[in-house]
Amino acid sequence: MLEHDTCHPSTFRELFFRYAAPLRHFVFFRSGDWAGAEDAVQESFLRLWKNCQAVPPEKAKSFLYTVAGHLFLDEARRQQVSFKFMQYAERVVPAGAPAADYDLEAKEVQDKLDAALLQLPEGQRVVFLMNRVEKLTYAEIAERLGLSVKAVEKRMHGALVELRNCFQGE
Amino acid sequence: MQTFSDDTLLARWLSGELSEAERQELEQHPDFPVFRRIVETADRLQLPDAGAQAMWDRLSPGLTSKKRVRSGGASRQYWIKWAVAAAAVFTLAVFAWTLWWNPSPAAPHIVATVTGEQKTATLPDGSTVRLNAVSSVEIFDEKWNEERRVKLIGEAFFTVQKGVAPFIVETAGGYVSVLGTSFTVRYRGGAFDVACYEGVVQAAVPGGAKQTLRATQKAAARNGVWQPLSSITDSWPGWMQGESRFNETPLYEVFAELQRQYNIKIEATGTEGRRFTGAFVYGDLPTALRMICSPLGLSYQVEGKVVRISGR
Repeated sequence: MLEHDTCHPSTFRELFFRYAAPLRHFVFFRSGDWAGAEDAVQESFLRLWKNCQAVPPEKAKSFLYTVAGHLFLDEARRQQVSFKFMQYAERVVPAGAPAADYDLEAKEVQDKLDAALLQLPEGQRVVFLMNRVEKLTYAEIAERLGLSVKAVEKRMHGALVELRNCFQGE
Repeated sequence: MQTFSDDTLLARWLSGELSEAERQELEQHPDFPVFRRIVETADRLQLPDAGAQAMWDRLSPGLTSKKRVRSGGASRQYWIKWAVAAAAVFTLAVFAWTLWWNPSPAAPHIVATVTGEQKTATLPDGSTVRLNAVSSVEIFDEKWNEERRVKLIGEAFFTVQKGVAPFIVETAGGYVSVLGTSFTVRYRGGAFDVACYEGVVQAAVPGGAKQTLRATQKAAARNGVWQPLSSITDSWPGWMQGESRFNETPLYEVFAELQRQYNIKIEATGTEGRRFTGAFVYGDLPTALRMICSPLGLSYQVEGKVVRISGR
């Protein structure tokens, strides 16, 4: 159980270990910059700490995602970033699949997905990756992004349609 | 290219929420195998470990040093420790004595911030007030049980505990009353702004005209006249996130805010009539100046505490 005080060291530590990793992924999904995403996590938690009296633990998540989202905007305003998701994502071979067959076909498909993700509008890419890679439900994504579930579903649908277009471009 | 009957269909397919008819529509779609392959491929992606422990090790030293009182070095004289201990015991004794004689010690009546400072005040009922820079709040705690009333100068974010007594924020530009919610109030130079983040608030200008705001709504009065309601898109005020944000704001107001956040004096020429949409960060003056000046094509020069900004 969380002590009802974000300033309490053990509460703050627990919040950090609960949200630091998903927050880093979230910023990375937007920016494609893995090192920059760590800086955004550090800065977001520092700002939470400064406001710990005014932000109760149950609101910390919304605070962190809001701050991290804006930090990325600030960074983006200062320097253009390119999206290189696949450089960092590890490719996992499904259990039971014959390795050789997998390598040939799957690698080709994954390269296509890599290229397609690059083309995706940011809003759609973030929703798509939060759902498929971070394994968050639409309701959880909506809460973090400050959107309605319906809006998240629209972005998800749009992402798949866009990705399909890229896949068929060949 | 064949389209879909609904623009959330593919999303609801993945979350298993399709009706039987929708499922059939999708499975007969010529691109269905492509969609399946995209999803199967994406589902095999995994991110590297975020390294939460390493990040915590980097972050945590900065946190404790902020809160903890300076610790004594090994070179300190032994007697200082005894003196400190004695002083602590004395202070505790005085404090206990105060509690004994006055069961509800008076809360501080005025809490104020200076340039570049933010502070949180906790009110008698557990409600909190987060003050932005150069602001103050006066707390009328004697009659708190009948009426929870504070007087604000400047800008603040309130989180009000649910209660029977109304909670009232007074400013020179109008007042706000609520029962339990979170909202910001700002009154600076004739501009009265109220933004509601949770629950419902009621705001009024001195003439008596009232405005009712629900969550995510924002009301602004200029010189005592309400403007049409607008909406807020963020779940927290920007200044609590460490930056001030503006939307088509006259540049002189942006400069005024900059002077509240940084201990500087701005001398601007050739910027009359200009407006700014964007943000500036706190605690980093060069970046803050760049964030304002570069999108507007302004040049600036820092000389000690004076910043000269020129629009040519």
